[in-house]
Amino acid sequence: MTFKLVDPDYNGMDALGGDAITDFDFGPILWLQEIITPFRIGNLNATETDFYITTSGVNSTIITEVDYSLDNKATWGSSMTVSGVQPNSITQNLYCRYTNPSDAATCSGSFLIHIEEV
Amino acid sequence: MANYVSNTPIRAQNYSSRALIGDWYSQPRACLIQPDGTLWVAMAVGTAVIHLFRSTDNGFSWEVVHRGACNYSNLRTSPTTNFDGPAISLIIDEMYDNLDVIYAGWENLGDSYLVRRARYVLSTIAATDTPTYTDLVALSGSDIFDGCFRIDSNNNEGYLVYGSLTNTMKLKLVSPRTTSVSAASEAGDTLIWPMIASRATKEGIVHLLYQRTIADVETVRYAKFTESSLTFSGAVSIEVMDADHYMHNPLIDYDGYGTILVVYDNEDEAVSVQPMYSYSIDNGVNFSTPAAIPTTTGHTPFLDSVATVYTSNPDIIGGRDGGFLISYTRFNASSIARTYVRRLSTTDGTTYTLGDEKEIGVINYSGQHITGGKFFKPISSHLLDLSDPGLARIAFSVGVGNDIDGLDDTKPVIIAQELLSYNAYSSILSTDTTTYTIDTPDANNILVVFNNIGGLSENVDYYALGLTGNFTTRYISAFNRLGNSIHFLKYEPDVDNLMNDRSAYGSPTEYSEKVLLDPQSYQFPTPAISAADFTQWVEKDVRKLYLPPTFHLSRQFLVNLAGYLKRTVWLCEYGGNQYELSQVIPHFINNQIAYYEANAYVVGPSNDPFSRTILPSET
Repeated sequence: MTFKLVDPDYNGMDALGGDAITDFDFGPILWLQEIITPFRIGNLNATETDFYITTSGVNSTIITEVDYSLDNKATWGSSMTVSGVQPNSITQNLYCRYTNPSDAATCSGSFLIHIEEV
Repeated sequence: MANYVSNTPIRAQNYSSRALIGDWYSQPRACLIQPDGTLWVAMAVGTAVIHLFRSTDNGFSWEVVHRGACNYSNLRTSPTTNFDGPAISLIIDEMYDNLDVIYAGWENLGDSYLVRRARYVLSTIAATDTPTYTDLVALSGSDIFDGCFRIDSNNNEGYLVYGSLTNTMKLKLVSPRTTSVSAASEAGDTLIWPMIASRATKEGIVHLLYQRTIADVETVRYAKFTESSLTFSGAVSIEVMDADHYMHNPLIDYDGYGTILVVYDNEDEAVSVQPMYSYSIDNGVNFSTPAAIPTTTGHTPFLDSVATVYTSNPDIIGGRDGGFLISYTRFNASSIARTYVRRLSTTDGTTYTLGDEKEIGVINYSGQHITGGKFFKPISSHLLDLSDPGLARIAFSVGVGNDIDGLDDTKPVIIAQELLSYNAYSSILSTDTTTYTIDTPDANNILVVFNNIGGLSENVDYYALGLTGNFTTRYISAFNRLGNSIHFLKYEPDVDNLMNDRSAYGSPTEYSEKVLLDPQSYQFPTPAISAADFTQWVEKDVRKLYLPPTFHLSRQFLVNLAGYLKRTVWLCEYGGNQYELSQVIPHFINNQIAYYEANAYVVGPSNDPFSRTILPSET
C-alpha cells in the first residue's frame, strides 16, 4: 500500500506519522441529506506521486451520487486527480460528498472511495 | 409512512351483508365521487329501505343523508337464484341538480318486477325529503327477467338496459332532465340471458357486455348501442363457454385511450370460478383472447358460504390517462376471503400489462373475511386519473352474513372504505425496493457505510434510529439540568372494542421523564360551540410542553370494530391537573434530533381525550 488516508485533524507534516483512516461511517442519513467529509492522502512512496480518486462499489444507484472536490467550493466531479504529492507528505484537505437520493432504499448501504496512483 | 388516516367505515354495523357486494346483477355504480370530492354511497338496508351515505371530508366521516323507503317490500333481484341481493344504481347529474337512486324489486315472489327511480334534489337533499318516484320498467315475473338491469349515464343522457321475456336485450333512454322515459330500442342480438353490463361514453355510445345462450351453449358477447340512431351494432363473441360454465358478474369500462375492458366471472357451476379479462383497442371490433387473472400460490376461489355460490365479486374502473384497476376476491392461503386489486397499465393505449396483486383492508381488517369491493367512480362519463393508483378509493364488505337475502340477524358486516394508497399502492416516497449490499474494500479502497432511515415525515423514534449528534447530547444535558420530573400515562386503543370512550382503551403504561412545562397557560374563555348565545363559555388551559430527544411519544391510529377512529392517548399530570398531549412536533438541528414540542390541553368536561373526534393531523 503506497498511500494512506490521514485524519484531517492530524497536525503533523509527515504521512508516516499521520493517524490513518480505515473507513467512514456516516451513520443514519435522511433522504436528500448531503454529507461532506474531509480527508487527506499521505504519500508513502519514495517518489512524487499523482493520485486518482473515484468511486466504486456494488450499489450502482449509490455511487452515482458521490462526487469529490479539491476545495469544497464550486468544483465537484465524480473523480479528481491530486498531482505532485511529495514523498512522506500529506495533501491539503480533500472532500467527498454524498447526496442521499430521494428514492434510496431505507436500509444500510455503502460505497468505496477508490484511490490509485497515476 | 406518515399517518394519513381517513378510513372510517361507511357503516360499522350493517345487518345486510348483500348491501354492498349484492349478487351477480346488482350495483354497477353505487359508489360515486362528485367532481368536488364529495363521496356518495347508496346501499339497501334490509329489503325496503335504501340509505344514502355521504362524506364531504374524504372519507373521514360519513353521514346518512337520507333513509329512503323505496315503496317495495322486496327490494331484491331474482327469487330463482339462491344468491339474492338488492340491485341499485346511483346517478348524479350536477347540471340538472338531480340525484337518482334506481333500483329493482319483485313482488308476490316474482310475479312482477319493477325498476323504479327515486329522484332527489342534489343540492338540497335532506333527511326529510320525499323523492319523486318514477317507474321505469315493469315486467311480468314469467319474463325470467330476474331483476337484472343496468343503468348508466353520460353527461347528457341516462340509459336503462334490461333483458326481456323474449330473451332480447332492450335499452331505454332515461332523460336526466325530466321524469320521462324518452325512447326505447331493442338489440339485434337475440336470445340473451339477462346478465348485462353497460358503460356509456360522452359521445352517446353505450358499450354492452352480455351472455348469449343458444342450445345451452353460453357465449360472452359484446355489442354497442348508438344513441343518435337508436341502434345496436358490432356484436362480437369474446368467449364461448365450456359446458356447465356461465358468465357472472359482467363488467365493462373504457379508459382515456378508448380501450374497452371487459371482466367477468367464468363459473364452472358449483365447482369453481375464475375472473377473466379481455380488452379491445379498436373500439370493440376485436377483443384479446380472454385471460384468467392469475391465482397466487395457495389462493383458492371464493365460495360464498351462505349462498353456496362461487364468485369473485369483481369490479373495474378505467383511467383517464389509460389503464384500469381490477378488484376481485379469493380465499388466501389461510382460507380467509380477501379482496385484491391489480393494475392493467399501459403507456400507449396499445399494449396492456397486468400488474402485481395488491391486497386491500390489510391494516384495519387483517384476518377478517373481505368478500368484495366496489370502486368509487366519477359521475357520468368522467374518468379518474389513475396514473397514481393509490388515489383510487374502494368500498368493501368485511364479514360474512348468514342470510342469502341480506337480512342478517346475527352476523353484522362492516362496510368499510379506503384509499388504495393506504396499503395496496403505498404513498411512501421510496421507489427503490431493493436492499443494498455492503461493499468489501481492498487495499485501494476506503469503505463508506451509512444507514438510510427515510425522511422526516415518518412517525419514528429518531433518537433510537441514531439521528443524533453533538446537539442532541447538549439538549439531553439541558433537560437533565433544568427539567422537572413529570408523570406520563400512555393509553393504547383496543382494536376489538365497540366503544368510543375511555373503555375503548386498555390500562395505561406509566413513565416519568424530566421535561419543561410552560407555566404561561391561561387563555381567555371561548364561547361553547354548542351554545345558542354567548352565555356559555369554555375555559382553556393550554401549555407548551418540551420533551427531551430521548422521549418519543409513539402513537398509532386504528379503526376499532365499532368504526371509531382511535389513536394513542398520552396524558401527563402536573399541578393537580391532567393534560392531554397532542400535536407533537420533533425539532432538529443539523439533522440531529434536539427536542420534541407538544401542546398540553387540560383534561376535563370540555375535553375528553378518549371520546372526542380527532383529526388525522392531531398527532
